[in-house]
Amino acid sequence: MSILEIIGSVFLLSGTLVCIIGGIGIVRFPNFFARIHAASVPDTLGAGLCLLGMVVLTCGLSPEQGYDAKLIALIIVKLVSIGIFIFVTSPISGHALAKSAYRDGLGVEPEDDAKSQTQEGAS
Amino acid sequence: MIIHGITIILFLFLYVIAIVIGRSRNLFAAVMLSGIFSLISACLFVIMDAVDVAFTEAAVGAGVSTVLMMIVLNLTSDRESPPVQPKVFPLLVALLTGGVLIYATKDMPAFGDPEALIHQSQTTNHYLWHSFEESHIPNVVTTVLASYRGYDTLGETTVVFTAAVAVMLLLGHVRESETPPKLINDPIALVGAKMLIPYILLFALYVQFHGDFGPGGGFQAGVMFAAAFVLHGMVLSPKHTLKAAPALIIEKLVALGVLLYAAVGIYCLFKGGNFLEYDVLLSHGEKPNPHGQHIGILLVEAGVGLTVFAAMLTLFYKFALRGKA
Repeated sequence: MSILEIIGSVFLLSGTLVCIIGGIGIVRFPNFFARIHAASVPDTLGAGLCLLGMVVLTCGLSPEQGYDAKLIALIIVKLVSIGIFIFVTSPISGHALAKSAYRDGLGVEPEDDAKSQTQEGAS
Repeated sequence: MIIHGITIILFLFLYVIAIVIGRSRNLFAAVMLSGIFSLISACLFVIMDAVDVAFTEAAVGAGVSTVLMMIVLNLTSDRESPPVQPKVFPLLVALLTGGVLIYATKDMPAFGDPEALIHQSQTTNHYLWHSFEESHIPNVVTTVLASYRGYDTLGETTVVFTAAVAVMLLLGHVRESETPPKLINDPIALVGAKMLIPYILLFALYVQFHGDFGPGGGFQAGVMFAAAFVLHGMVLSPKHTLKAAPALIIEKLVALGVLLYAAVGIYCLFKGGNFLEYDVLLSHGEKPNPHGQHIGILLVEAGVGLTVFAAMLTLFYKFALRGKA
């Protein structure tokens, strides 16, 4: 196992760990806004770390495996553009969700969530 | 082994989502869940190595159709009205149809079965082994879609055209509200969309013209191109998009794409070939003629892209420009 593979695996594992923590947060956090926070913040960091790990792993690919420098550069460019896309869209979608919930008058107390749930059920 | 585990988990997700959609009274949630359903289906297609299909599913099912459904919900209510009477008959019909479909799967070969009829057939072998020498296009899916089965694809493009015409006829000259409902009213989303729209358009063009070499082609590219305009219309207002892409021109593009497709076929007839036989394009009589195939496929894909783009944007206009009923 080369040094690049080890570094890449560490990045990938920490990225998935962050994503799992975010998932636990979505289930455990008390109100809607905290849950949005748990959904969108680790999303950016976790996906970013995973992509970084993939970039490092790609750098470790050798010509013997059929990857020349041009192909590796192409893969890295694709991964980086995915990263930029996530970096722009993920915070914005979290913001849009939170803002529309705020406009709808959703409060921060846990009871408010339950109230809107029962309203949904009733109406 | 791992791949089997992933497949089973994804199918479990599909079951759970389908049940939740069926039980939910909140239509907004149902629309979002159906988008997730499409995305998971796309993942399953990727696992089955059908990347072109996965691409289409992700772009159409998870992308544009979800947005169009949300715009429709904006016009109506996002709550399903409670049922008036117990629905026994619909349940019977659903059970019967499901039962027939499950019964039919008994006759289907297992996934990847080398003995399956489709892998034994002469046609499949011809496509797989000779498509590159006949058209010099590495992506067999594109060759099959646009050349070998070009007639089918012309039919599919006509279906898209017909759907757009039907929507235009049904919603054509209903009162358009002076101030259509603002869909997303938010400066941060506006800035983000401004950053993304040029790249979405560029990527759509890449998908359109790179379809010969990798997954992609007219259907996916058309949807993406329309998605950029839909995003523009959602963060500003549909009226702004109408200035950038006037409905009169877009409506004509719907027909122009199909016309371009059919015109290539008819031009082939004039050159002495069969309908959509691209070998006669740019030809001095030799066969197979990869150059002719290449130019024919390019033009036909352009026609598909044009029609799909214009049809999607027309649907968006027709729904987004209406006032709330």
